Amino acid sequence: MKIKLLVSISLLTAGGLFAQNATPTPPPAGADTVKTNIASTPEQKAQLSYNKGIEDFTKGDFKAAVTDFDTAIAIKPTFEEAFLNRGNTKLKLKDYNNAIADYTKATELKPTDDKAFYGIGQCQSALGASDKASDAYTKAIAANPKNADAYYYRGEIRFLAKNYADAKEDFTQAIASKPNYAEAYNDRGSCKMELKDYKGAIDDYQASIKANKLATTFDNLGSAQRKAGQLDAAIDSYSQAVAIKPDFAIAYNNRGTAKFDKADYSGAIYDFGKAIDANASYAYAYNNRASAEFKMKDYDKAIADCNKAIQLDPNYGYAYLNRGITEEMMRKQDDACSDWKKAASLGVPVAKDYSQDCQ
Amino acid sequence: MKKVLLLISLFTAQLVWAQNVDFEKKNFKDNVKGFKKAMDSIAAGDEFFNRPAEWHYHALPFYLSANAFNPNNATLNYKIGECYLTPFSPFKTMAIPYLEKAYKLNPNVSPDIHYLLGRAYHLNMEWVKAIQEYDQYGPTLDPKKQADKIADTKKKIQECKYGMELVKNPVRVFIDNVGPSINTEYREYGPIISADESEMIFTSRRPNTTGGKQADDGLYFEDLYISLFRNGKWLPATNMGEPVNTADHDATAGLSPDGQILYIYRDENGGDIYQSFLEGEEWSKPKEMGGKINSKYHESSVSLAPDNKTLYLVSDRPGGYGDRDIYKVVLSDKAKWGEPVNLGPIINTQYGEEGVDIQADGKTLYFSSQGHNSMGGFDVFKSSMDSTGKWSEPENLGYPVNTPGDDVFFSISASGKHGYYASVRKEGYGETDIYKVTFLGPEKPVALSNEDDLLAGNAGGVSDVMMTSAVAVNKTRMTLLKGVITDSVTHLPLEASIELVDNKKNTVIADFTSNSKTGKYLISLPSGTNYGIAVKAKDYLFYSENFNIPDTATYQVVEKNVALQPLNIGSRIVLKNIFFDFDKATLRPESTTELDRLINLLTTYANLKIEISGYTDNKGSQAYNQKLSESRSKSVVDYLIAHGIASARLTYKGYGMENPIATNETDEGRQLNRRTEFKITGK
Repeated sequence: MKIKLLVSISLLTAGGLFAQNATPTPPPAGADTVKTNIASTPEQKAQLSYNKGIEDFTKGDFKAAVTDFDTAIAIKPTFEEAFLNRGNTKLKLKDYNNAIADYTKATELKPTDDKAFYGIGQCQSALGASDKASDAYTKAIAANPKNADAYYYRGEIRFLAKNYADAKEDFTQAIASKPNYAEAYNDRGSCKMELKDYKGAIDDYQASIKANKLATTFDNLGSAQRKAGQLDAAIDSYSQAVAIKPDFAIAYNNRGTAKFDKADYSGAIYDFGKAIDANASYAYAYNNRASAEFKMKDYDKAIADCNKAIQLDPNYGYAYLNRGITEEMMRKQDDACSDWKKAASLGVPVAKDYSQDCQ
Repeated sequence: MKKVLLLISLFTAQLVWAQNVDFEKKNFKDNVKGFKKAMDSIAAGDEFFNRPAEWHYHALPFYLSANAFNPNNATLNYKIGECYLTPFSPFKTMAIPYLEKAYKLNPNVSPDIHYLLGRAYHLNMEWVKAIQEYDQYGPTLDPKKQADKIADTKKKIQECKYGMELVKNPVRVFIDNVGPSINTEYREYGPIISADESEMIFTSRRPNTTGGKQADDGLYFEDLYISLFRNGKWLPATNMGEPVNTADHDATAGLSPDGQILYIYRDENGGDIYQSFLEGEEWSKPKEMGGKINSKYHESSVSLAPDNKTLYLVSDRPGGYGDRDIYKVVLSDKAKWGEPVNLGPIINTQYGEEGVDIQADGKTLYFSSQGHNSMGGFDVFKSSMDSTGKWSEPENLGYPVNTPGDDVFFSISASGKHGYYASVRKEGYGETDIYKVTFLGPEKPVALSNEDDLLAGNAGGVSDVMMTSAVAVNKTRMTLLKGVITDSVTHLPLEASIELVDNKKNTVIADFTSNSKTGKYLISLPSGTNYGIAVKAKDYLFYSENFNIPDTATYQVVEKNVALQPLNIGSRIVLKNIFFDFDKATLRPESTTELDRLINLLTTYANLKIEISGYTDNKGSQAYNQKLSESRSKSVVDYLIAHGIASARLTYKGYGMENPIATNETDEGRQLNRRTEFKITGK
């Protein structure tokens, strides 16, 4: 019974404490289990409370779990694992600052606890402190160079900071420690895409799909193929994305763009329409449909779609730009100039060139 | 014309292949009356068909009538096709079904059937078919006796190849017929447009020509017509009347940049250029241009550069590269036009060049040519002159500005945004019409927006906007300065001379004269120069103005009305083109022209006594400013004395910050207050 319980706890902490919302792959367990005998010594009481905490956590009763870990720590103030797991539980309760305090205590008690540093990284990320989070992940990696998730999340922070080269290296390390890490392959592919290495991006997205068929990854694969000029392959990939996720407006919008690039303007209009069906507030899709309608010389519809895009996002500079371009062809030069000036004021550089010729 | 169109619509449907049916009585025994009528129609058509080609189009109604009776005669179908292809026919491509049928009914209907089919396909921009027909025609010609036709056929094949390339990349323009106020069922061509696009003078061959007579080609004699652009539309054109027009041919040849000189083509001495001056609201009697502009050969078109000293001329005089060429003529110091100099083989070809127009920047030349990479007939080209005077390789203005037909007499507006030219198009009112081209510049790509959830662990998605590359906008950097010169007391218009000075180089760039009756003037000023403008009239104080037009300035129109002051005691003016070193009384070299102007005035009016007065803004102390302004006034007086003006006629005074003429609260106002004035103290 004891052994069974302990094994059970070990599995649950590994699978539960850091579970996020379905995706991505859960980070590794930050909690540790304790092997102990059933006895009534203070040490044993602390361990029992600790184990009860894990049980409550597994049930999703985080408040009870916190109380359990409180008891364990009250009995044994040097109970490093209890601090770690209380930190994990507070993270679930979004009590980030107190979670950080617990993780910090855990690292004081055990300076090589990569899981505690990792937990600090998660909390700092949640608090928007990217630099502090990155530092924490770096410490987790120093404590355990095979902590794939620490590499992964540091990679994401670097990606968002547009440091794609270093981010790519982090995702490579994550993959080295966890060979079927679909998300890391996806994200490394995205780094390569931002670095305009479209062939490398395509390879990584395909490796990610081999490990796990994520709709997002099919969409990203399509975008890498589109940018590499492989428009037919891109359209296939976007189609796979919407087959997995039928309301995937982004993928419809992208498939429409690939068709636009193929000069299949009626096909593009269909797809932008599907994107709008999936998300009626999707300003990009209205703007893009206007662009395809412009190419079909259906200027009235193009104007109507630009109007809708602007209504949804009054600061959407490119919708003003496109409306101006359409108005120029409708011989409404004053309206075109007004729209180009507005687009320029919203930071669309080319609009400034266009409006310079306006009286 | 409407009748012709009706017949076309009725009979094209009958173009179903059949066997050739000759116009012989035995073939129409059951309709003898109809046969006789058809034969009469053919005879009437032949009356025109047997004349020169420009008459053939008049045969069409008769031939089409006969063809309705018997649609299966190869010769008649051939003739109808040929008539549709005659010059100035707006329906040239209607020849195709008739020529195809003629060939089908009888492949030997005429030796040049393949040539005519080639022409018809060529004009319809069916390039491959046209080349096939020309290729079939070529070998039928005798190399010894028909070398000219062989060369012509080869040229037309090359035109088709150029056309194929040009049509692949159409230029972004709007092409609009300028409308029925100008265009009619008769020929209109040779538009010349004023710099501000408010007036158009053009040539037409319509019935109200002066004298009301027809020329040998059956069309009315050419006359000049004028239309004004008001409230967004062209007003009905009117015949310019005498003395501009005569009972003979009178056609547009050019207009000076300031709109004061009209150049007219007259059918004299092999074709010469005449000039007429705008005197008040009337054009003077045209006079032959003089100098070496005209020859006993054909001169047809001129364009005067904005310096008023350089003229571009079209002539077929000997010594050129073939047919009509473009020449440059420079005005000598004695105000005579010098020897025309051929612009050389970059511009001129062995084929015809026509319709020259230099843009207001003085560097961009528009002209039409049958050579270069024309896609057929005359195409419009442009070439730019670099700082060494070398012309760039002519650039075809592209499709759809140019067509396989004649596109000619291109006139560009000062802004460079619009051009006006003559072309034969399906949408026209008949024969050659005048069209307006609006240049839209390089394509403006529409922008698509896209995004992806690039990070698998990041639900927010990373935005990624997709955008194609940007275009240079051709900018025409030009300021049009216009206005009216008046007497400051009577407010009546004045004829005055306007001197344009490059302040940096201290040289007079050009002289202009305002209209004697209206006082109006118009000057083109390219950007990137600091200009001094001096307005002078006899017995008036001159007026000067300074315009610094930065290189980045785009097209603009500046209206500057000037009221000149009579030479009376007490009259005063600001000398706007006198410049001092900062915070010093040292005259800058660019002041020389203005000071010389003042010396001229004092020399011309030897009794004139003046006071030079200096003013400052309110920066600094009154004492300092008074001293500075006095020193500056003295510098001017010293200059005048050094250049021979008696000191007894000159006084000077520094007023410091007194009598401001503008606010001292702004930089612009302070700049106006820092000034040198002179006033007349005795005469």
